[in-house]
Amino acid sequence: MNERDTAVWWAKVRSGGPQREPAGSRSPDGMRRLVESDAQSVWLLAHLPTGAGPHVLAEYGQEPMTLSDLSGTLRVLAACLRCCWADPAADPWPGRLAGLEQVDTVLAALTPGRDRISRRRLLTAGLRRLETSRWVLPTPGHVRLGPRVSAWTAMDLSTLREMWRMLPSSDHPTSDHLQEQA
Amino acid sequence: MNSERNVVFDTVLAPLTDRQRENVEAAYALLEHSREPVHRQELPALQDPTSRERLEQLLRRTGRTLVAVDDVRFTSGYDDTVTAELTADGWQPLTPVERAVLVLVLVYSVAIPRSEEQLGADAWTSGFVTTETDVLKDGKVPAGVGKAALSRLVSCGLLARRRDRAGGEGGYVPGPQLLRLTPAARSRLQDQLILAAAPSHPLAAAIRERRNRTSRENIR
Amino acid sequence: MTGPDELPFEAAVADSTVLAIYRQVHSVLARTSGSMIDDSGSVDIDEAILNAFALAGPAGLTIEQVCAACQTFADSVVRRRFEVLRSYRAVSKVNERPNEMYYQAAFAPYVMLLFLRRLSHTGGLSELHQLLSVARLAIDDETTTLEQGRDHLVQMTTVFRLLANPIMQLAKSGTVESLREQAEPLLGNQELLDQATAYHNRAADIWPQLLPECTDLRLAVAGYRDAVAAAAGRLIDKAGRTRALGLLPAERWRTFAREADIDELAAAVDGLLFDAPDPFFTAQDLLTAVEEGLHTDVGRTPPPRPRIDDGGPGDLPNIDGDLRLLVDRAEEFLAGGDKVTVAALLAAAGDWPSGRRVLSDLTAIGLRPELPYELTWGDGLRVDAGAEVTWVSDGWLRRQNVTVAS
Repeated sequence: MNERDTAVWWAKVRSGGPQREPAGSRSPDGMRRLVESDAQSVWLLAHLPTGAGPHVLAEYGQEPMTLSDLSGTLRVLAACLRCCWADPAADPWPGRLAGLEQVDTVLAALTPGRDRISRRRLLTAGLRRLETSRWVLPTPGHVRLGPRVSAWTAMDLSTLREMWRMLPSSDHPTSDHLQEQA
Repeated sequence: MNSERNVVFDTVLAPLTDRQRENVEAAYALLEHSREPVHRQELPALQDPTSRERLEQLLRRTGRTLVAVDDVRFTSGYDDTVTAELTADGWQPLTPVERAVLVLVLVYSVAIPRSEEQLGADAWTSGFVTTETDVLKDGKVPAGVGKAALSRLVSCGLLARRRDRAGGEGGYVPGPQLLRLTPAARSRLQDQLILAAAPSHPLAAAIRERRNRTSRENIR
Repeated sequence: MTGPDELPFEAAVADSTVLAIYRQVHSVLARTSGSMIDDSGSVDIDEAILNAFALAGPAGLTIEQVCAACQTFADSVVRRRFEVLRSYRAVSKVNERPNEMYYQAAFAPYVMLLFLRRLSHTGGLSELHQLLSVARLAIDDETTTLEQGRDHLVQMTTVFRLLANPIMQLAKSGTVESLREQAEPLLGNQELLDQATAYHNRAADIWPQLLPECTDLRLAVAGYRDAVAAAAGRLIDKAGRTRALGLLPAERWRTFAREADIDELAAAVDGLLFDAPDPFFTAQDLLTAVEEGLHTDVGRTPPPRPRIDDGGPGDLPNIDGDLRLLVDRAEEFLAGGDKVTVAALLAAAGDWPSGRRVLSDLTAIGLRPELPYELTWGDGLRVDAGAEVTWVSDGWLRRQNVTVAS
């Protein structure tokens, strides 16, 4: 792929988010290529050196793009990670499919004080916000992690493993006070 | 997971010292990911001609270009030729409703105040708020779809929310992403708004004439 | 009598639009007496005087009564305008006898006044549309003579020549500022050109004898079109990146917003590319959100964590004025502490209006995730029929980054 085509691909990903292509397609220079679990397709997304990535903003006191209800959205993502990251010893991608009920159970532990309806609303809105940037890939009734999670560094992943351990497993709700109060 | 090298960065930055490379990478990060334009003080790579040349090359190789917002602030935007190539192929990730809603906000927040001589700077930003009612009132955008479009446009920085402290409706203004438009893209947006709003006005004719002239010159 | 000496033109340039039209028309009306209204304020006085006569009924008014009816203007000014109107016979004695004190007004000056007002708003273009319509209709009217048709053609030719000349002059050598100032009325519209062309074509069909007059009109219209195109081209070239938007009237934009369909609106950003949403979350962001979520759980008593951010709210980066007010308000509520119940704040507020204010401020704080405060609501409800605020839901305002054992 020549320089020109590479530049066009980078612009395509910047404007359209990570792109899903047939498995046989060529990779533009500098792009990460993530093979889907069925091996039929690949995700192409920008791969930046750590020194040129969004991590750098904090050092310079610059604001990144944020989302509305950031902490709520982050809790939804954390719940998805807990359910979809099958083996925290490995990479989160591609992970496994999780049912929304499972995710909701974990989310309940992260959002005490919210009733079922308001938590559902948070889950739906959070998944939609995360989906547009391909952090997660929801399907009706289910969700799995999106290619965007591959951007985390080794250091990030060690923090995330710690987080994973803090969260209750969705299969075994831990104690009564994590249950619905209403 | 993040161990593979980026061949574009490695190639372009190869001639630089470690220090220069660090500056160029940091400048790339700040220009590409900051919500707002960045002050040149934060961008030492712009001061050093070698670093600047490499930074610009890096941006170009990734479909981008340096955009000066004013005398001291910089950001990055799409390379005009790349935009032209992609859009000519029909590439447009925003849905028609999202684009229509964006245009409505530009009309209410920029074009109308501009016609009423209430705007000073020649920019696509504005403090004039477009309310949700402005966007939805004519019924051409269904309320649910319109609200979803507003929210998505906010999340990518094309619009910004403004709350009204007095308890009023609040609304939307053009967001910081519009500062990423290159001079050519800004002109194009102005021209197309005029062509769309007043296709038979002499100004629209003058715009079409200028475009023909430019494309003739490009062929020559 | 008002003469150029008393009110020099330079003194009145501020009202140039009204004045320009007013002078143009009056130059025709006033050529015999040499007196010409030279300030637009006179129009208001004339209107007040004519209104007073309209209300007075058939008996008419004395000069003193006119002055009394026009109290918003100085006596001397009203008397001066009265004299001008009288000299043109716009105002005349009710009975022509030496000692007659009462005057009455004619209707024509008032109609002229309305006409001037309208002309000053539209720049004369709508009158031109009407003249063209009348001329066009006259072609198909059997009673129209060839001479009348010729007159119409010549008049329209003159109008288009007069319209085109100043625009071309401005486009060639005027400053961009003057061009911009006069752009809107001068640029006219396609409709006018279409109407003129249709008129010309019909006239050429019906009156082959008037071919030379028709050719003159065609050339004049073409000249107008060229002048407008040249002016528009110069304006667009000098308009920067958004300023040309101001060259269309605001009403044009409102119509566009109201009437264009989704595709027509969307077309305005054709050929442009925008960034997809691409928020980035560090692992630490996630961990913090998770810990805060877990620790707000009532019933858990995790060990207090040290405050990560020791700086006060003054260290918050880049917050705008509204946020700053909310931060101030939140600090006022917390009063140095890390947590306060909504009930305590409402009790402190005293009356219901203040309580409502507290609630709306708390909600505003709670809706801003970028602020280091959190508003949480429990399910309990405390009812106290004797208090000013009779029911209070369980709720807390907390400082974030601080774990509070409940």
